[in-house]
Amino acid sequence: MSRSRIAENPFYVLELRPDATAAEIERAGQKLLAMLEIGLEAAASYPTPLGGMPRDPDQVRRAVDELRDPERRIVHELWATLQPDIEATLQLVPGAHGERTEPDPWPGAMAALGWGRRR
Amino acid sequence: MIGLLLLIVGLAVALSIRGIGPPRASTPVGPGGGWVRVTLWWTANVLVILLLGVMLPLRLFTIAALLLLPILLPWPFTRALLIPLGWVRATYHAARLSSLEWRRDRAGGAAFSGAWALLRQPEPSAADRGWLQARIADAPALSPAHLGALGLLAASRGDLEEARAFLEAIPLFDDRITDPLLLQRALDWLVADAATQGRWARVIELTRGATEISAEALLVAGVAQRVVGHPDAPGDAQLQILWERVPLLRRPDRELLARAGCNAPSGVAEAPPAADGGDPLETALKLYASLLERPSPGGLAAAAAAWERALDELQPWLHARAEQLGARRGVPLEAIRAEIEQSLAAIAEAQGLSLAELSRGGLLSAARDRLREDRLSTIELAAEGLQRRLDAGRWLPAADEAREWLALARLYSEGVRSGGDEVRRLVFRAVHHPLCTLSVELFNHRGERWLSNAMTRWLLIEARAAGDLRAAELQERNLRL
Repeated sequence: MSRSRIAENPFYVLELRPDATAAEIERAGQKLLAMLEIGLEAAASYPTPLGGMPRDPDQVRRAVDELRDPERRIVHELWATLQPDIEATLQLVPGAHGERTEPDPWPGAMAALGWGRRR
Repeated sequence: MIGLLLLIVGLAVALSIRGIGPPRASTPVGPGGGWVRVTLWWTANVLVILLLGVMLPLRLFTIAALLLLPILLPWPFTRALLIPLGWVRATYHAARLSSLEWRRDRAGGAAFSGAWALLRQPEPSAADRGWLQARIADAPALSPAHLGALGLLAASRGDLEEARAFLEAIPLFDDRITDPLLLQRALDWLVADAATQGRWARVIELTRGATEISAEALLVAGVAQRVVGHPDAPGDAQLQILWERVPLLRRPDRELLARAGCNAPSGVAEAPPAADGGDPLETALKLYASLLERPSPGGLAAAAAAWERALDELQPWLHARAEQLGARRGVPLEAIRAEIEQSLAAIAEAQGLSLAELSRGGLLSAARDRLREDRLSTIELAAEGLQRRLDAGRWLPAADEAREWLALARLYSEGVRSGGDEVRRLVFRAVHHPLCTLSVELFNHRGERWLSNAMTRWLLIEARAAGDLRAAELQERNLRL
């Protein structure tokens, strides 16, 4: 649930900050819908602290609708406190810049160890 | 001379075919007499080769030896050719001739080998899968190799959870029915599965103390130790030796060795990120976002502590925003706290992190309590459901009974892993009664003594761990039957 609070946060979807006014929200929604309608690549995704996410018109409409409700908007403001900038989020994590902190999966393990067809 | 040769070939084939039939199901011990049969089989093989060598010129001898290869050396032929080709039915029949490797359970070993071949097909064939399932269903009793075959069949369908459960259960079966090759190959699959997901700590856990372990599994375990920075991790030279010990045809690419050399030592991933002393909410969200991307026990504890600080200061902000925006109902802080607790519990559960060890009060305690309650009620409901079915006398085929047992055992293990011994004691009584009833029924009335024996062994291990002496005594008595 809380991953989607960040990844699908209406403020991130609309590329606005939590202090945006109601008019700014409506304008951003209209602008993004128009951009998506003509297939502009710039509108096809949006940045979040968890990385870029794909965007579609339904998501934009839902985002505008969510932010029209004051109670729901307050919760979304809370979860959109971070700048949608992955570097800012990861700067606290040791090893986030370049070196690896987590072991990588080995997708070819099954085939390499005889449990699947080798490519 | 020809008559003698035919006699010896006939004897060899007869020895091989004898025992191809269903294993004697009435005992948890394998078909028995394995070594005698194997000795006779190999003696007959050597005599055949000697006689052919004496009787035939070199060229004809070579041709005859090649033609007889599948009968004389069925397992090397199966392992090197039939399994890689994905020929399920040929693998099954050739493996049934493998009286040395599948000495204790040839029918089960053949099914396991067939399922292995199925995994080597580019797209596992549903017809072959159905054919193997029919062979397993025909067996008079479910053996560990049959269970392993069902696990590989589940993997071929993409059901990895079931595959893991079945293959992990194999060591619970009696040694006398479990071929060392089965233990080794089941471990190999589990190791490959864990490595696929990057669960390197799990690779180490699986291989630690394993008695039957292949050169491939040893190599991957060495790589895993390097990846997590284990204190006993092999050096470059040792790793190279481990790699060279894997037979050439089965040796993984050097990419695996590179993987072992390019990761940060352990401790880095586990170290909780430092707080930045800035806005508590911003810090909590940063740590939380990092935790979502890189879950670790240290990260979980740090995020929980940061949320605790942030929530302490959130109430005035919530009031102020509600007034500014005209939100008449406001946003209760408790709703936000509950959502965060739930989310932390979900992350801990998904990553297999033990909340019992991590709990340091506050949000993590609440998350632990929430998770523990959820798990306790899930286990109790599952155990009650099983007991109701048993009380009503609704029995399932042996493979489905094994599935039910292992599903309940998995819920139980997850509960114990996250809740510790406190949860173990609470839930053991809940699962003991239905599983004991099932085990006794399988033993007394269904002829499934091998499966019953494995369940009893599991109950005994858990009874001892939970400190339930009466249950342990009961299971010890059952195991002696």
